[in-house]
Amino acid sequence: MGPDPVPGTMEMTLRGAVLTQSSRSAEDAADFSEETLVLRSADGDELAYGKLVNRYHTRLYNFVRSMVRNTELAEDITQESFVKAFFSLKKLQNPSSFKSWLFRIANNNTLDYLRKKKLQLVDVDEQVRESYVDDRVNPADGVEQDARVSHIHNALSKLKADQRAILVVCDLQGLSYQEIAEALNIPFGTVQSRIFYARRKLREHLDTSIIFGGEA
Amino acid sequence: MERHREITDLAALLDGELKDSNVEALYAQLNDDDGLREEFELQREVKTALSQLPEEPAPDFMTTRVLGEIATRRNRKTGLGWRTVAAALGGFSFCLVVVFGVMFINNGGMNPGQQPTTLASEREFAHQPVGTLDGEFRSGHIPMIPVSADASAQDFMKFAIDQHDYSTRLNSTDSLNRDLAGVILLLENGETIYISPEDIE
Repeated sequence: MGPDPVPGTMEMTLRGAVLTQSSRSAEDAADFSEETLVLRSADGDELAYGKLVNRYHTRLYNFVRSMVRNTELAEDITQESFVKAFFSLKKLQNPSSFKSWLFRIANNNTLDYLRKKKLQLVDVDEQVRESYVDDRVNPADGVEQDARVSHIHNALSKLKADQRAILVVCDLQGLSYQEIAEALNIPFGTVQSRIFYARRKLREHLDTSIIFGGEA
Repeated sequence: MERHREITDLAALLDGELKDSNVEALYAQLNDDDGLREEFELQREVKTALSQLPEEPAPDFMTTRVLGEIATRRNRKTGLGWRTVAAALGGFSFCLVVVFGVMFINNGGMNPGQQPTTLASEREFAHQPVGTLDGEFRSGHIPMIPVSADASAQDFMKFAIDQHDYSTRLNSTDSLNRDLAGVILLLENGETIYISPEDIE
């Protein structure tokens, strides 16, 4: 890689990698390789699948929660995604792509749920935004971090579902472009531009004074 | 490199996904192009902002819930299998009943091989013999009633009157039934004769 003309570029890339690593359970990772667990699970080994669930439930839950902004709903959709994945494991041709395949199921489940309920994402967001603010942020407390988090979530909720999904899997969950293409079922070549424009759109809704405390 | 490609490459550069062969070229562009550099800063700010979002741990019970639901659905699938078998058996039984029912109806309501019941009055048995009962009462449980080969309807009626208090089977195939509706004689050859209470009296 060439010289870094913009301070922080490398730091950001590394930070993304660290985030990815920190979300995994070292305890689980030490037991079996992921492919082994996937193959065993495909044969109906529930214990093996339990390890996979342990490994990914937080990431999947956070992905879904960022999409629907509702804790109980996110729990239900996450659970359903894992269950569906278990019963469809035999269809997974490449065990090494389990992660992106799992995110794909969760993404489809989330969108299906919203379609079935005939709810507009915006409507859901309006409901859960209030509950989120009520649950997580008490403005009277003046907790800066909570206000920042709430502001980012609110900005995210103003994006279209596909834009929100791609930013969450990329910047929060740390999936590679190839994994994102598989997870969201879009061409690899589309990933880059979609991320770019999603970030640009999100930036329109972000107040840097809140995000960076007036530093930016 | 066209402009659209340049600016979207900024996302890939930020994410470490840009091909090595394009990295240096893009860095050179960034150094020379203020607008591009500004765009890159915006992209970086957003990525930085999103990285501030804390990851909320999934509920502790998530794994238990998932595995529990899997077990439940597996059992349900097994149950469905049994229900399917039961339904299939039920359907098969129903088909058998329908088939035999149709055969029964086509046979005039008789068992296979049984001939239709004839009304005694239709046989004009006051004048014509209706058959022989010779050999039909060998069981010894029922008093032998001598009936000749040319037994008349009256002979049958007498037989019916004498036997209506017995429910003993005559033999393996013949039986005598009497109820308030009358008497049906089942002959060895499968022929049946209905004798109404009026006939008996």
